Amino acid sequence: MSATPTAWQRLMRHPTAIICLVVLAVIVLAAILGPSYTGYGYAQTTDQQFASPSFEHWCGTDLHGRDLLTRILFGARVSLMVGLIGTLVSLIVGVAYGMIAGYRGGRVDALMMRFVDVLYCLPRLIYIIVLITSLSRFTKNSPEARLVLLFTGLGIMEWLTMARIVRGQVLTLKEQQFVLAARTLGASAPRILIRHLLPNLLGVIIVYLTLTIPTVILGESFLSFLGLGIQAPQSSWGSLISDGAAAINSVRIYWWLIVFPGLAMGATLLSLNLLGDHLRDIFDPRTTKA
Amino acid sequence: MLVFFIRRILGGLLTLFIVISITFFLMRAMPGNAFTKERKLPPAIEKNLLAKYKLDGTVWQQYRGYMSDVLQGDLRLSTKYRSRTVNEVLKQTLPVSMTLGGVAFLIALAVGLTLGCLAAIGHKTMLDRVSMFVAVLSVAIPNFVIAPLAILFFALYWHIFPVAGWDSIRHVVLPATCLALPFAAYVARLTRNSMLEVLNQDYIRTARAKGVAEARVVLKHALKVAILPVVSFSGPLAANLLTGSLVIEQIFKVPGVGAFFVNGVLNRDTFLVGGVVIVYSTLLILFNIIVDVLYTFLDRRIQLA
Repeated sequence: MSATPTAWQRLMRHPTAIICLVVLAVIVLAAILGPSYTGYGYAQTTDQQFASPSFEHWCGTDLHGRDLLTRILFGARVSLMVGLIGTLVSLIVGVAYGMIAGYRGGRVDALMMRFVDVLYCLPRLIYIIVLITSLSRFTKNSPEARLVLLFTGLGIMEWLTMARIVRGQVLTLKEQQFVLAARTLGASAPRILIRHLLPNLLGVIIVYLTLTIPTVILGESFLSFLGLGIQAPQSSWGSLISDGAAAINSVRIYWWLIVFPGLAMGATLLSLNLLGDHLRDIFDPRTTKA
Repeated sequence: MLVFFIRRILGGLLTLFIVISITFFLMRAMPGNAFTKERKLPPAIEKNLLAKYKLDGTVWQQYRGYMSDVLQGDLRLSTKYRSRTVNEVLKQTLPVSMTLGGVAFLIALAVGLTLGCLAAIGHKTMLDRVSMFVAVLSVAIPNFVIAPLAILFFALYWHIFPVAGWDSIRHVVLPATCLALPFAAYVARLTRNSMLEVLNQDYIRTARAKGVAEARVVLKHALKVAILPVVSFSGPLAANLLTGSLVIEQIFKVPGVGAFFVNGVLNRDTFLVGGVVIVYSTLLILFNIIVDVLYTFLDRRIQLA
C-alpha cells in the first residue's frame, strides 16, 4: 500500500493528468447537482420542438421539446453509473478469476484460461441481449430494475481482459520470496491471495480500471444506440446521440442534438483514457523507459 | 511446422464447437420461442411452425440435430426472415460487410502505420504530440458520434460524398473511414511505442553509423521488427472489421450482416445468430493462425511448436 502516495504525487506532476481529473470532477458534480438546477425535468415536454440553443434552453430542445441540457445531465448520471457499477462488477469477477487461475496454476489454470479464450470468440452483444431479454419478465414494471440489469450485464461482458492481466501478474508474483515466506508461516491460500498478492496487484488493477470505465460507458451507448439499452423518456449519452443521428436529414440540420451529447461523452472518455495512459506510465515499469 | 498446423487447427475446431454450443444454448435459454412475439397462434399452427423450423422436441434433441446439420454445411432456415435460409442471408450480406471491413482494415493499417512511424521519428516534437493527441481523441470519441458528424459535413454541407446507401465506390469512403478511425489510432499508438523501443537498439545505431539514410533505417531496418505488435493486433482486428460494425452499417444504411444479426438476436432467431457467430469465430481463429505464421516470417527467431 505504501506505493500509493508516491504514485499520487507522480500523477500530480503531469499537467494533463490534473486537467483530466478536474474535467472529470466537474462532470461528476454536474451530473449529481445539475438536473435539479436547469429548471426543466428530463421528461418534461414543451411546445418548442427542435429549438436551437438559446438562453432559455442552453443546448436547445429535441423532437418533443425537452430541454437537451437537462437530458444530457441526466444522461451523465446514467452513463457514469454504468461506468462505475459495470467496472466494479468486471473488477470483482476478473480479479477473483485471474487470481484463482494464476495461483492454482497447472491444469486448473489451463482449463480456466481456455474458457476465457473461448469467451473471447463470442460476440459480447449476445451475452448482454440474452441476459436482458431472458430477465425482462422481472423488470417489466420497473425501469430501475432494468437499469441495474443493464449495469451488471455490461460489467459481466468486460472481465475477460482483467482476468488475463491479473493471472499473468499472479503467475510471476507467486514465485517470489515473500509468498514462500507467508506459506511457510502457515498462511492459508485465501489469506495469501488477499493480504499478500492483492496489494501488489493494485497498480495494474487501478490502471486497467481507468481504461475499463470508458469501455463500459461505450458499451452502454452502443446498446442504447441500437435501441437495446436505456428506454425513453430516460436518457443516456448513447441514446441521446442515437436520437440526434436519427434526426439528421437534408432539409433541416439539428446539429446541437449530436454535438452537445457527443462533446459530453467525448470529454469524459478522453479524460479517462488520458488518465489511464498516465497511470500506466507510472505503474508499469516497462513503459517508463520508452 | 506441420505439427503446429495440426495442433492449431484441432484447437480451433474445438473452440468453434464450444462457441457454437454456448451460442445455441444461450439462444434457446431465452423465454418463449421465435413465434411467441406475434399475436397468439393456435396451438396446432405453432406446433407445425416449430416442426418446420426444427424447433420441436427437447433442447438436447434440437442441439444434436442442429450440430449434425451444421457439420453438413446447412445453417438451416431463418425464423425471422421466413422462407430464407441462413446460408442465403449470409451469402447476400457477408460480401457487403467484408468489402466495407476490408477497405476499413487497409485504411486502418495504412494510416496507423504512417502516423505511428512519423510520431516515432519526430519523438517529443510537435508532430509526435499532435498525432498522438489525434490518436487518443479518435479512440475516445466513439465512431457513432463521428459518423453522423461526417455525414453532416461531407454529405449535407459540402456534398462530397453521398449520405448513405451502397451503390458505388463513393458510398464506401465515408463508412469505411469512420469504421477505420479508432483502429487506425490504436495501430498508430502501437507502432509508435514499439518503434521507439526498436530505434534505441544497437543494430539501429550500427546502421546509422554506417551512414544509412534515416528513411531507410526506419523503413527497412526498424519497421520489420517494430511491426510485430501490429501484426498480432491485426488478427482480431480483421475478424472484427470483416464481419462489419453494427453501428456504422446502421448509420450509413449499409445492407451488411450487422442489422440481420441484431434483429436475429432480438427475435430469438437461433439459427441466424448461430450462423453469424460461426462465421465470426471461424474468421477469428483463422486470422490468429495466420498471424502466428506471419510472425515466423518476420522474426526468424520464433519457432512454431
